[in-house]
Amino acid sequence: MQGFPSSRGLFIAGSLLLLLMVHPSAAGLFSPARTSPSVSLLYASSGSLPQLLNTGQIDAFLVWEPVVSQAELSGIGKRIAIPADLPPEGKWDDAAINVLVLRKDITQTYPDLSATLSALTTAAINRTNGDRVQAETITANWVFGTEPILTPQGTLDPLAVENHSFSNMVFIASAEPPDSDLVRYTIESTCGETCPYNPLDWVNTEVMERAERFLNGTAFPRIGTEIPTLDIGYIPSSDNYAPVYVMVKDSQYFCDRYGFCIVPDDPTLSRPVQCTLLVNGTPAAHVNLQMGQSGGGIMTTIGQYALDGAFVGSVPAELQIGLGNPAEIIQSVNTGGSGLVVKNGSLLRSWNDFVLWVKIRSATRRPVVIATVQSSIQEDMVREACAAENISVILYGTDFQIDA
Amino acid sequence: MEPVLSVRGIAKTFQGEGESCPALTGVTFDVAPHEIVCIMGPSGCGKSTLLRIILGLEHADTGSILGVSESGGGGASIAMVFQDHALFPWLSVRDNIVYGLRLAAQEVPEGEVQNRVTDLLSLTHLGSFAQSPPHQLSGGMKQRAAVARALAVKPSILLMDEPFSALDTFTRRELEDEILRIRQDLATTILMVTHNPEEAVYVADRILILSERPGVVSEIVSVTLPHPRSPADPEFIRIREQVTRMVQGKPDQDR
Amino acid sequence: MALISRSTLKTAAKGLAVIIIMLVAWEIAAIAIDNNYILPTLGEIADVLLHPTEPLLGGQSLLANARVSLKEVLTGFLIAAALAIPLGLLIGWSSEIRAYLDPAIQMLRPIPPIAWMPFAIAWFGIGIDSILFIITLGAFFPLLINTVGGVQGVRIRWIEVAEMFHATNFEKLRTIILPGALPGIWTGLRISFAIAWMCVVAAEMLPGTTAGLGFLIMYAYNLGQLNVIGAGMVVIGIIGLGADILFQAGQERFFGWQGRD
Repeated sequence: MQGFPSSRGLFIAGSLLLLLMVHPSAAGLFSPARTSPSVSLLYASSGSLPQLLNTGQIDAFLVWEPVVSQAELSGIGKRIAIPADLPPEGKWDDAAINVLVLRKDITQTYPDLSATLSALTTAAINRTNGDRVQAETITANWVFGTEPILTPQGTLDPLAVENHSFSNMVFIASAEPPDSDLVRYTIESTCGETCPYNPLDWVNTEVMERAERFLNGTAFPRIGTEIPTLDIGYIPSSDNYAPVYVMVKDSQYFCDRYGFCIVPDDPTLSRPVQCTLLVNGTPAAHVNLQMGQSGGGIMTTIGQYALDGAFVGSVPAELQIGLGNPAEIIQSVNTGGSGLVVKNGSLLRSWNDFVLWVKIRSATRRPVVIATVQSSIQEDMVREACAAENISVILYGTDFQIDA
Repeated sequence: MEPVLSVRGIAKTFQGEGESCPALTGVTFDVAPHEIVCIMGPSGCGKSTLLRIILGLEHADTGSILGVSESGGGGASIAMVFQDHALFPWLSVRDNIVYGLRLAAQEVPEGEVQNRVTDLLSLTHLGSFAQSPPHQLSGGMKQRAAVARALAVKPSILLMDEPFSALDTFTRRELEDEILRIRQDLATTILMVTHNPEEAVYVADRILILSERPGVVSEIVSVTLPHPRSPADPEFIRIREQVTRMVQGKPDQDR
Repeated sequence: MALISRSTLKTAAKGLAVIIIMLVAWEIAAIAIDNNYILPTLGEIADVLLHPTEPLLGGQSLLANARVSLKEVLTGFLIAAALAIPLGLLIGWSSEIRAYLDPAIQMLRPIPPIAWMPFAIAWFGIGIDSILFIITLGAFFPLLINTVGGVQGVRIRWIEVAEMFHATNFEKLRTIILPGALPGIWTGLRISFAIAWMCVVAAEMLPGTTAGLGFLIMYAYNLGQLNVIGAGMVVIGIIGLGADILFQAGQERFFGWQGRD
């Protein structure tokens, strides 16, 4: 092409320069070898993890039930550790994995309703623990539906998955929100001293105390003239909210036993959304169970006043409350309920085996790729366990090392 | 002297696309060296098609062209100035002029290229616009550049297809003078299609009248007036009116 | 050469006035709503923008994330160009090839790249490859179509001039088709970059992403930090605008002749 040559040359040179600036991969060629062993941390959605493991794109994942059981029973994976096995020792034994949160103005404006919800949660926890088989059936229907689950090799019966999953879950109302390094680091690096990290300060114990009195009969919820609507979020892919499913599907039990219950408006739905809170047979509130995709997203929606509360992971709750979300923690729902899974057929059998494997792979410059859901307590477990073993956590596909 | 161009029995019909293109049924004529021959005829595209056939862009159904082969290659070289100048807008005037020279087919060494373009720029008075893009030039200047581009390959015959019809009267007259001068300086042979009788009489040595049905050369008018010709001259006017009537298909009053 | 003429400044001022009005409206609404989960204030957003190199939310900085996204989009864009321009030249040149390929192209073209995301993961695995696939796909079709249009916009007369001078087919391609089609190709590049840039944000919401502006936005949403989302949006807008300005400048500098022949 002829004509106007000099500016064209400048233009091309300029564009090349821009490209060079934006391609630091040249720098990557010269990065020094890491002195400490490392893992590569990858974020993915919970549902995609078994397939990623199956196709070899990740080496391990840490996630909640029933994904763990599903992976195991379909022959994809093998669970080698549960949170209690992970260092720091004893950290996760009694830590709340999922919690009930409500926005502060809700607990202030509707103290009895809030306490009733809390009471039903505790009652449902007891009911779940008391009749596991029923709970498994209800959960199977809610999470998976009635059709068999498709796996690479065939199909799975949801009931079988739930049976396996429940053996890995502990439902308990009194667990405390964990002391999370992930949360502390994020909060401190975002707003420093103006946002102190004190998870216990964020628990509103009054609600649970009142709920106790409702449960042991020394007090009873008062109904106002107004019938408010409460929108409560949750993540329907998780078994950890089994008590919620039991609460709604086995509602007659609670109506009979306690005089208050949450009844689905359409009992034929496998995942009811619109429900009514009845006190002595009289509607006291509309409760909508809204499905969400992520704990963080649910918390943001609470801050936007589009949800009033949620059953959600403790870490997403802490993260947001610590950064200013006007919600508070009412009580816990469960502990445990997660697993570290590696490929089926692996020789690994424990967390210690895993650590050894990480070190070997690191030395051969092919770090283990472990996947988890971003900003979940499972991510925190991974980071803290690795930190305890002096293993660096590098974000997948980058050079960026996470400071836990 | 041998004619530069011999057109023999060129015929072409058009496959009814709704065009009102008079068919050529047997066009025959010669063009002598250094001649300026104008072709005139009823409006339509037969005249342009004739030029395109000579140039090699289209094929006749029958007939032959001697002096240049039908495909335009071999023999002597040939180039055309189109009505819409067709300069390449992304090239400067200078680069437009040398375009043909830089193709492999021409095999012209670079030093020679520079010489030619310098000469042509001065010949067409475009020296100060050599680096300009075509869109900065007036219509007349663009046509001059188109002429220079065609002349760059030293064609043995220069075809021109209504080259000045899109220009205003004064520019047209300027360019007509320029064509005469170029013919004088370079001894070029020129075959021009025009629909302007005054223009034809002003520049041509001979005027060929193409008739409509049949599509043949029906009349040839020689113009022997000396240059510079004056359009007010009675003889000029007589020839012009004669040509006009012939084009309109009216019988020649002087016969 | 004067860089900016007075009339250009006047025109720019008009656009700027509208933007300023929008910002003022935003700020008033943010103050009235007083809930930075719904609408963060401009100050909160500016706070993030003014510290682009500081780590955000425990992760990488705004600038680092922007760099990642830019790298992805440029790579995908260049791949798309390497594929679409030659193919477009071919399709524009040959009506035979056009007859074969055109229906398939017209069928694939309207499918939004985001719809391909599940397939991207299945075919390319998690990580940069699936992201690049989405971006390349987004950039490919507009560029292809504009290249074809550019070729078809090449005036037949120019080709006839080349034939008159006995140009070979390759010479026709090099000296006529390519320069003649270049304005259309340039427009295609401009459009396809803009689309690729939009795709990058969506593609980064694929699993396996750990950096980039799309990733940052999702992460910030999970933490309820909408001011970071706002800052991310501003950066996305600035880069998009900057690219368009560059393309626009190129258009004027090299293709000022377009439409004036």
